[in-house]
Amino acid sequence: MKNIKYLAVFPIVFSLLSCFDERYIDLPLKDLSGSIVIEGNVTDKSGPYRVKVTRSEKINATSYPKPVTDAIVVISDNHGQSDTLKYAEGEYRTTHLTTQYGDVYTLSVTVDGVTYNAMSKMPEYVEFTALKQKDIPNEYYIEKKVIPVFTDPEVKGNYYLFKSQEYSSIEKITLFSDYSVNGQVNNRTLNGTNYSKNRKVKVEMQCIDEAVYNYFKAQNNPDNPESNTTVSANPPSNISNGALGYFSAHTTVEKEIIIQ
Amino acid sequence: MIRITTSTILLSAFSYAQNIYPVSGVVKDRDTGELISGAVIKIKEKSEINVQSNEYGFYSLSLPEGDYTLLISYSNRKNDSKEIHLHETIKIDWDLIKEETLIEEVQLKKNKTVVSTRSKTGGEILDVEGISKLPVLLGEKDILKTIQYLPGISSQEGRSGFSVRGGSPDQNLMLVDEAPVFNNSHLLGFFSTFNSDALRNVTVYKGNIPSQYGGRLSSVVDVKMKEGNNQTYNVSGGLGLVSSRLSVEGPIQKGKSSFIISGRRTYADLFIPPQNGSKIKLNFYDLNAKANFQINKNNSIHLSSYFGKDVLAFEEFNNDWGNTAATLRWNSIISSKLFSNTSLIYSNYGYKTTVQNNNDEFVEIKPNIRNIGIKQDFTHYVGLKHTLRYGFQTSQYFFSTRDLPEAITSSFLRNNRTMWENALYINDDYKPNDKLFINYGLRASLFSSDRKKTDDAGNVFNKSYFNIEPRIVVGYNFNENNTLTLGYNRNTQNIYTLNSLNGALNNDLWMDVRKPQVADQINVGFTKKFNNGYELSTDVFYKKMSNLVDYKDGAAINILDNIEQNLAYNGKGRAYGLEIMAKKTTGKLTGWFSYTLSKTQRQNDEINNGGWYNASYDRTHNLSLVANYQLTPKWTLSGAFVYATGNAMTYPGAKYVIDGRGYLQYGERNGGRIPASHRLDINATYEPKTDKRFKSSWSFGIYNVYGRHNPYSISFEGNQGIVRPKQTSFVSWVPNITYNFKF
Repeated sequence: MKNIKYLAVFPIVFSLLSCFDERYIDLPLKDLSGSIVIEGNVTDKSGPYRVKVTRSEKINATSYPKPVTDAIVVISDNHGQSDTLKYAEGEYRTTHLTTQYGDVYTLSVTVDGVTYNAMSKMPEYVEFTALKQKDIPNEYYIEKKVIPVFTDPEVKGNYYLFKSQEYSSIEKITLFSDYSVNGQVNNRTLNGTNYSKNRKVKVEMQCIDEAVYNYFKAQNNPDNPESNTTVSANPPSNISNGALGYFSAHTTVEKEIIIQ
Repeated sequence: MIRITTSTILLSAFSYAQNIYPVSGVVKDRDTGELISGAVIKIKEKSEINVQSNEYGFYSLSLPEGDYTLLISYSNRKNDSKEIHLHETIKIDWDLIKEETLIEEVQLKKNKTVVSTRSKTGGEILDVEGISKLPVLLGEKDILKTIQYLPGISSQEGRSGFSVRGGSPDQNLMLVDEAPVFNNSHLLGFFSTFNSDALRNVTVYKGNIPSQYGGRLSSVVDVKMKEGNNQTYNVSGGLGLVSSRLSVEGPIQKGKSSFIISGRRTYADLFIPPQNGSKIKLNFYDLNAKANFQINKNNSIHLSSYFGKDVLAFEEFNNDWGNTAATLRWNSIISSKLFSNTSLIYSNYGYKTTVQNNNDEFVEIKPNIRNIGIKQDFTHYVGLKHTLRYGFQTSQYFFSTRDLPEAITSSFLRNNRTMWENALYINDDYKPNDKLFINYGLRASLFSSDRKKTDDAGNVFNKSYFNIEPRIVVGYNFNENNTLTLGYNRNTQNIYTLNSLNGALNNDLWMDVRKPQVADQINVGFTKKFNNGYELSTDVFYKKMSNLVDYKDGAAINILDNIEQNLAYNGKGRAYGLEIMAKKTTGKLTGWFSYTLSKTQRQNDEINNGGWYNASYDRTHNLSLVANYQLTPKWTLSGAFVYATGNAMTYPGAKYVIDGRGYLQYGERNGGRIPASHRLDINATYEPKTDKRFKSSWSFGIYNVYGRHNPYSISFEGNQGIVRPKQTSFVSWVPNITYNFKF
């Protein structure tokens, strides 16, 4: 993600030494398409909760992945509650499941006789106190950034995911852990910058469990799938049997701020 | 251990009835006074006895009283002999004459070019002059590029570093006059740090590394700088399209002391047009300087230094790096049987680079590694059959990041680290008879770190580790032309690099290990010489490594973060292969063919679901063909062809969507391969013969004659949902003209 400038220097340098050449080539890539992709969320708000099941597509396919419609999707908790989800409009929805902080939820998806399982524990609620603006002046202009205000609990091992979006621009994801700032009031800024004055920025805060944090941390930068400052690999999924994707039981609170 | 071995051997020496006297001395070049290492001294009357001059030119052998004829030989030098009557300790120094001069004088038709010779323990000794006519990129003759034509050594075009027998590039110990050099490349890897004008010879050990060397798993590249001509002043230099160099050498006191200063500067950036109105800086310079003083007949002091710096700057982006290395050596002939070398060693590698922090601001960081050490080495010619090498080495490493901006809180960058490396070693070069030779020994190494025992991930390490590294080579000469060698070697390594991972780090970053890496290697080699200058050698090796470090799957690398949380420790490695080398060393056409068939893999519980995966530099086939043709006395043509399987890389095999965003689905770690690369380079050298003092030559060359698009990197780019592989390469040929002079 960083040092894009530096990468840009390479072609220039090479253009000196000889002609620098970039071209699309054919490579004998092993076709891995058809793998099950699961995206499941359970929150502290009331349901229905949604699970998407798709299959990965050929790398040169033009079409978007189509949903798997004949899966058996069940979510249960550690108190004996169980809910078989109903398919509608490209996703599976719970019918009656209710949630509680600290409970462990189990997702089970069966497709063509293969069952994919995942577990996620809904973290305790952490209050999303406020959003504040931080102006960082540099040589040319003032950078306007946003800080989510919340107090990290005393107990170690809290993980947070923020989705921030200005107007109609692309949603940005920011991940925090309490690794080096346990128990403190947050003053880290969210990804995304150059907000213009009077624009509304919407921020969703999620308390997530460690496995989900690790999944998103390792996910390649989606805005630029070929920027490979991460080690190319599928992010560590909490779903069994080699499925891609994640299952997350998390809290959710939304706040907005008008940029000054 | 030392005492026991010595006394046993002394006893065996004393069991001879006759009096035994040592013959010793120093081997030098007549015209330049340069020391010659690796010269073979034989006794005509006792064919089973032969010794080689050590790397400081010293030799010694012991014989019973009597009359003898001493014979000396060394590649490119005229054989010489001396008759002696041995009835007391005597000193015989040799001044060898270059064979090149001889060709002109005597008009010998036999031409001999030996670029590399193999020492009996398996080290390849490269003759720096011998490589001068090989084709090179932009006319810079380059010893590190030349060794990549040898079997078992592979590299990727445009990348610094090379892999030896399946090891990673950081497993090669680069020594310049005994000081380690941490970054061996200039200009994005197109040039090596070593200016060939300043070098005397280079020895490469791929397998049987003698116990006086240690600290790296895969190889030792021991570069010795010239001492400087102690007879006359010389100036030599070259003017090229993108670089120029100049060397001055001469006596400080004739025959006793000398100096050499050699410098290089590139000006590649002169040819780069400004981009977006901003000038690009891209250049390097380096300087080698050395002086030596003969204090008396038996003692000399040598001071060597190297300084190099690279500059890369574009707009607000900066990336400079530099090596500094210095050695102060004291050579002492303690007795006619005991030679001592004491070295004080200093080496520093640092860089200054601009990175963007989380707030997209540019900050400058300066990671640095520094090494200060002492090495004491003895060569002890014990008797007729034994030569001992023993000594110790102690050094301290400092890892730091100077002048860190306050905003950077990373405890990894903030905390300086230090590390101690100590070693005791001994080896015995034992020749039971004229057919068999054995070099056996061991190195005891102690590593201590000042780090906490437990790291952030909860891994527990010791504060210090002790390792015994046994090493043995057994050679058997069936006859003069057939030699079989068997070797076993253990090495440990205490520092490693995190590679830049396509720009995530601007430079390789040196790190101290948490637990020493260990490698065990066994190898078997067979060399056959044929009558008319042909030579064939084959080697088979198997190497096992442990405690290797690699990036975890999906690790996101940012130097401002705690980098170590992305690392998986306790990795294993294995490498095996077959190497073939065929040489032709005499005649108008000389050269060699080398081929390597090999496999190198890694395993780590935290990577690739614990399964074995290819190392990125796993290259199944690696082939080079190098030829030199003496067309006329003035014109020499040369060419080099290389072919290698592409590096292993992790490829995606599908794509998927999560939360409305597209992602690539990857296959197993390094399960794919970038396309194979091959290339032909040619060169012509015109060297008019003249009796005048001023000599000059022209060199014309073309790099990548047929303009092959060799892959530099492969990326995957999405366009409206369709993801396609994109290859980046340096295309087409690069010409060069260099004018060299000497007076």
